[in-house]
Amino acid sequence: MISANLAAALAGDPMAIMALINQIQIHIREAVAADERVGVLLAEQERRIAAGEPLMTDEERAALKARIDANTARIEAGGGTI
Amino acid sequence: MRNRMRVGALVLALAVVAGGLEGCNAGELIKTAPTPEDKADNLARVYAEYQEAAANLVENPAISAREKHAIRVANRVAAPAANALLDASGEYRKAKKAIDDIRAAGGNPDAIALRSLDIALEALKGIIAANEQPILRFKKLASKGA
Repeated sequence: MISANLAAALAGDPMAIMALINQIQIHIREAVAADERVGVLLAEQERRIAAGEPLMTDEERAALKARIDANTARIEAGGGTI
Repeated sequence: MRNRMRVGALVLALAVVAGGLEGCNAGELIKTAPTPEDKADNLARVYAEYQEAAANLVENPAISAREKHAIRVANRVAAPAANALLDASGEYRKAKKAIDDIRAAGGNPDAIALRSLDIALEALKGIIAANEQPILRFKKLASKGA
């Protein structure tokens, strides 16, 4: 949708410009937050390699699968079907 | 006309900034995985983080219905891909641990078991190759928008 609004924004439509900037800000915020969470995982991986610990336990795998399912449920329930 | 060009330049600059947020930590986490099974797990981990970002986007009223739909469709491909990676790496780890346990007990795993582990590793690599792109494409969608 960002690219869809871009043409209208470039044509000078003020509402489209505001909507576009807002959407870009939301995307930046979410992308930065996700990248920060991955940064924590990266640091944890380095720590575990140094300590000789397993990088993924069975419990962590089960928890990750449950989290993926929970996120999928949120995405499916989030509305916006076209 | 001049103001319009300035606004256009500003919007383009913001779009470029948003587009540049590829997420360097994600690439690093995938790249630095010591083994194929770790790479499979890390792909799923990266996916889960960007999937959460996507879930937040879907729940945000400022995001368009069209974009939410794009996220939903992409997730229907990427979620099974991540689960397949986790299942494959989990099974491979179990097989590898069984061989390691035999060695730790002073035993010598037979040739068939070792060959089976090699075949399982090749299968795991194939599963990674098949499921990597849907996850990376989903990450890109969650980062930049449709």
